[in-house]
Amino acid sequence: MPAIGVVRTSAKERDSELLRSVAAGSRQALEELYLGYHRRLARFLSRFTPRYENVEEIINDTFLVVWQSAKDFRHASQVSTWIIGIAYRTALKSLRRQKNHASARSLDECPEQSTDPTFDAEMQDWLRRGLARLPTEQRLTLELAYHMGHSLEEIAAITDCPVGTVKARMFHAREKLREYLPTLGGSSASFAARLE
Amino acid sequence: MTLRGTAREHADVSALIPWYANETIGEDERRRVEAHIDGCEKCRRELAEQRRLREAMSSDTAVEYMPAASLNRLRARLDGIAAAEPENPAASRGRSGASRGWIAASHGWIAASHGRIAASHGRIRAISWQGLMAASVALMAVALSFLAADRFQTRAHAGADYYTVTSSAQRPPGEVIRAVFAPTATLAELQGMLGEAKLRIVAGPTEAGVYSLAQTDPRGSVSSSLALLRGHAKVRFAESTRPDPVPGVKPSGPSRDP
Repeated sequence: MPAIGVVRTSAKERDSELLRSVAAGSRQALEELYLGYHRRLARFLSRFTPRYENVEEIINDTFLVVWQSAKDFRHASQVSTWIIGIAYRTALKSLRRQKNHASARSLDECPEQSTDPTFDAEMQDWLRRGLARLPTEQRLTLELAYHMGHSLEEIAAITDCPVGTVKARMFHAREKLREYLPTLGGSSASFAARLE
Repeated sequence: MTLRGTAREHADVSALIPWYANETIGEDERRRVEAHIDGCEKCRRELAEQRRLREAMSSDTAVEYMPAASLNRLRARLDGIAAAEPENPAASRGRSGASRGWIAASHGWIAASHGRIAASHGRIRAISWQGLMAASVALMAVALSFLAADRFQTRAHAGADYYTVTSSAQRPPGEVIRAVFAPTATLAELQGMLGEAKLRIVAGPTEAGVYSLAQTDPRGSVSSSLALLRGHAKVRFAESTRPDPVPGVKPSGPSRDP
C-alpha cells in the first residue's frame, strides 16, 4: 500500500538523519534512535535469553558501538540493517558465552512434556525447546526470517554473510527442527502433524 | 528438464521456501517457487510446515520491557567515556588511530565482537605502537572513570524513582524467583500455578507488578519451579534471583540448584 511505503521511507530517512546527528556527537539523537529500536530489539533478544539484564546488556553494548562507529557508516545500506547487524554480532557473542551454561542446564532440568502440544502455551514451550537446541547462527537466521520478517538479502547484510550461507543455515535449521521437535514432544509423529 | 536439472531446481526452490513463507521474496523468485510447487508435493508440504512454524514464531512475547531504566544505564556508560576523554586529548572520539586504540582497549570485547562490521566499513586502521602506548595509558584513565561511573550509578540508584525486576537490592527473605503474571490471571489460577511449582508469595506486587516468590519445599528444584512457571500461559515473566553456578562446580545438598 502506498501509505505504508511512505511511512517506511520516512522512517528510513529519519533514521539516517538521526545517525548523522549521532556521528556529529548528538546524544539526543542517539537516545531517540535507542528508544525507537529498544522495543524491537528487546522482543527479538528476549526470545534467546529470558534474563532482562542480558537483553539490556546486548542493547546497550549495541548502542555504544553505534555511538562510536556512527562516523564510519556510509549510508550505503539501511540504518536499521546496520543497527540490527551490530545487535546480531553482540547477541552472537553473548549467546555463545551463555551456551552450555544456563540455557542448556535449564533445558536438561525441564520436565519432559507428555501432554498434548496443540495447546498454545505448551506448543510455544515445546517450540522454544526445539529452537534452543539449534546452533546459535542457525537459530538467529530462523528468528530473523520468521520473528523479525527479514528478507534473504537483508539477513545476508545483517549477518555479513553471503546469501548462500544464509540459505544453508536456514536449511540446516529446518532439518534439525524436523529432527528435534517430534522427539521433544515425546512422539514420533511428523513435524507437520505436530504443528497442525 | 533433465533429472539432474529437476533435482537442482527442487533444491534451489526448497532453499527459497522460508522467504516465500515470510512473504519477502522477490517477484521473479516468487514465480519460480510457484511454478515448481505446483508440481512438487514435497515442496508444498514443506511450505505448509514453514508457514506454521513462522506463525508460531512470529507471535510476540508477552513481556514488555521499559527502556527508561536501560537508557539511564547507557547514559552513565556514555558519561564515563565522555569524562575520560578530556584527560586524553589524543583520544577524542573517532578522530585518530590512537583514539581507536583507546576505544578498542577500553571496550576490547565490544570492539572484538564488532570487528567484522568495522572492517566491512573499512575505517579501522592498524593501531600503531604509539597508539597502543597511548591506549595503555588511556586504559588506566578509563578504569578510573569506570570507578567514578560506578559511584555515579550508585548515587543515581539511591535516588531513582524506577524499579527493575532484576534489581539486586532489597531481596525479601527466601526469595528465589521474581515473576510477573498476566492481569487476567485469576486468584485460583495463581494459587494453582504456585502450588504446582511449590512456591509461595513473600513480597509484591510492586508497582511494576513483580511478585517475589519463595520455595514451599526448600529441598525442591528452583529450575523446575521456574520451568513450570514459564510454561504457564498466564506468566509473563519469571526469573531466578539466584546467581548462576560456577561452571564445573557441582552443587551440594539434595537440590540440583546452586
